[in-house]
Amino acid sequence: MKKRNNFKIFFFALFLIYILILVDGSISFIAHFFSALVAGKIFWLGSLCVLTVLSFEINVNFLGVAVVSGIIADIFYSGIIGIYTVSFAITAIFLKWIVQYLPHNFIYIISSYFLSVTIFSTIYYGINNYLGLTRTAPFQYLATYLPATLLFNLFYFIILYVPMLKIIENFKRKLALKDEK
Amino acid sequence: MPKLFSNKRLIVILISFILAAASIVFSIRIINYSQTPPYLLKLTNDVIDVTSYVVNEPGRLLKNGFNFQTELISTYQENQKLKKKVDQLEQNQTKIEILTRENKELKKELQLNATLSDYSQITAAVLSRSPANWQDVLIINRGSVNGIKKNMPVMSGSGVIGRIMEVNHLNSKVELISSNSKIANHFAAQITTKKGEVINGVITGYSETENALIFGNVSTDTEIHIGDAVVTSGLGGVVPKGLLIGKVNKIEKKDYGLSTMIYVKSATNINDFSVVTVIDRTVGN
Repeated sequence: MKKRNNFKIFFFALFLIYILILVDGSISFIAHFFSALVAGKIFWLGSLCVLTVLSFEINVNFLGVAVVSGIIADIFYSGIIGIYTVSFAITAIFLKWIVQYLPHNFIYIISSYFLSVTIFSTIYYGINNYLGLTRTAPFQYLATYLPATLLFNLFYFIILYVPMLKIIENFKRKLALKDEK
Repeated sequence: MPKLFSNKRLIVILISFILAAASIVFSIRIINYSQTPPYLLKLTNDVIDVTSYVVNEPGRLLKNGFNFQTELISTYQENQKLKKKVDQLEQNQTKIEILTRENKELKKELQLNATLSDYSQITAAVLSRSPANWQDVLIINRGSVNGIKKNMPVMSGSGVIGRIMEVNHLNSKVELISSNSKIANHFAAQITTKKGEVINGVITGYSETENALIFGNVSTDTEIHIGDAVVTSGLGGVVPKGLLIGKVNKIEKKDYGLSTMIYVKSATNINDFSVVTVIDRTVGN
């Protein structure tokens, strides 16, 4: 039964992250209409928001989900498989580790999200920079790109948190009901 | 003597690291050398494309709504300006028609079927944009079934905005001209001065501080003026000649005056577009 539940959790998490990966692209597209200068400095990470909330709400290892969804994001957005995947996988490992030590409330979840955005974005930038896919200097990244990414993703998280939590809680309730039957 | 496979976790980490590195290297090789991605990647892209329609449609509608509002506000002012241009345009239209006919006849006499400046157009809608801030990649809803090929130039409004970097069955990826990636294919371009002299070069990147494209690889004594048109040169690849990229915005002497850095203001807004046009050059197909 546990194995079956894990299977369901895997696909549920994958579906949610997949949707948010597509939404991230859509938001990036719309944001450039308002201000290209600002939008060009933000890395939209709604997918990471789902991963963070999932890690706190469901006690399962999401490494597999992170790898599969990372591959999907890489194929769809850049065509270079591995960059998003590696960054997402490392962030999933970090979240799995940090969740053990923190209580489950909004402040700690948003703090973890803040840290995971920093880790994800920095690894992603590091690989891109190493491969020559960007000419953004490390100083420029730390001074402009990272703060903008953190700030806008914080608002993004606040908007997404409640609906995300409701969906996950609903899923958990249904899973528990089926287990009782 | 320590055991070779004593730490399982370390071995798993090492193997994962090697696999990830191999995957990245393989993907970059595909981008650089292959005409299209492998079948499996194409298929995955097409499946994602179908679902992305559902997710991206509200966003597209929202953006179109905003566009509509902004356009409505500026309509009156634009109308005044355009009225003044209409007469001139009609004159130009007649002139173009005469010149096109004359050009056709001359080509016939010279037995030329098509030249570097001949092309057809494929219209596409922008589906999405890469969420990463340093990857200037767009996803459009036209693929190989619509006749899209790798490296075709993409235009929006009156200017070039990028080129096709990956073609799938139902969608394609467009690398924007503003991309600062070192592995990006650069546009061969030329400046035609007011005296009629031509200076060849390459669009090497984008300057955030100047908010302009950089026209590099130039070592010429020819006098370039602000406002000179920068167009594609038609050399190398499948880009036709004469597509407008922008106008010279600023000229800077570098390396103690040995080379010239030219900033080009793009002819179109390279960040705001819902519909783009893919250009298919007649020559070489």
